[in-house]
Amino acid sequence: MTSFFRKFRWLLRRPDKEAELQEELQFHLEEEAGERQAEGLAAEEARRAARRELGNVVLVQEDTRAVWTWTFGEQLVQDIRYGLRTIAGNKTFSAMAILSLALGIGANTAIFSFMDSILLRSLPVRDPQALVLLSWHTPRPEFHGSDHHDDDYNDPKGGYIGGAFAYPAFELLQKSDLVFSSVFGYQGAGKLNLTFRAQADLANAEYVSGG
Amino acid sequence: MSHHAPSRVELLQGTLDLLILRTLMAGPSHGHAIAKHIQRTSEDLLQVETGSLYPALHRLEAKGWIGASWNLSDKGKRARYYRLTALGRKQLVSEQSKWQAFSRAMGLILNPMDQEGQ
Repeated sequence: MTSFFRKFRWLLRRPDKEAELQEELQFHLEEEAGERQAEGLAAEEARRAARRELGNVVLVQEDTRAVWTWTFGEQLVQDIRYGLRTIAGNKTFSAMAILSLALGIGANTAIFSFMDSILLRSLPVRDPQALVLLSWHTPRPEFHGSDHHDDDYNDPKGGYIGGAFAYPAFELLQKSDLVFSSVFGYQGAGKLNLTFRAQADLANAEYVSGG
Repeated sequence: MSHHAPSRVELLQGTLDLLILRTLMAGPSHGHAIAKHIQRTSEDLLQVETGSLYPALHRLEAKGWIGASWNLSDKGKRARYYRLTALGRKQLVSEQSKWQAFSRAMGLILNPMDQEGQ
């Protein structure tokens, strides 16, 4: 068991230790009384002598408790001082380590704020959690179209699933307002040549129907 | 009634830990037995106060030099038995040699006669 775990476990067991200490001192008293009795004292007198020998039980408990806290704090301070000494001892290494940590944390924060804004924040529409994406399920692959999104896959329970819908089915869904307030379709349009401010580039395009 | 003990010696700071570790070399023992063993072995010159014994035992346990577990005593009562750990054994060896060097040095200065006689 490493010393870290020993310290940690020891800290967690604090409430049990209170009761154990009480029992431990009680046992000490009984042992001492038994010994006095063996020396020829009467039971009551032996008990009193043992109590006298032990002194102030509460004080002993308090001193022992203080040791628990003190030792933990002392070792913590020792560890911190050791850490600081090590840092001071290898200045270049420490500077590099701290710098790479700082850069790493900074980069992660930047990436996360970016991901957060595009992935995790809700879409800028009314009631975004009511949006659903429909999939087309068919038992046979030849009945399956493609929406050019490569999102078709084999259903493990049998059949095929994809995002491509037959147009009449789409029309039916759009006309009926029983379930959805509005329905729109989209399809990948491949790569298009896009010119913006006299600069041309290839961009992924989508065909999107009106809502 | 009063204990007619020979004149007692005050325990020096830090020596109790060493005495406890040395006592536990003989095998696991509970607090009361440790105190009695130190007292008996020192021919009653050393008296271990309960008020310093238990804090010391718990300090040594926290440092990992001794371990503790609840066992039944020879009288069948539940007692907290302490035993020496590997770490404690190492500590004992180094403390013991430190102490022996110290007491030899003290002896050389306090009893210069032994040397002058040679």
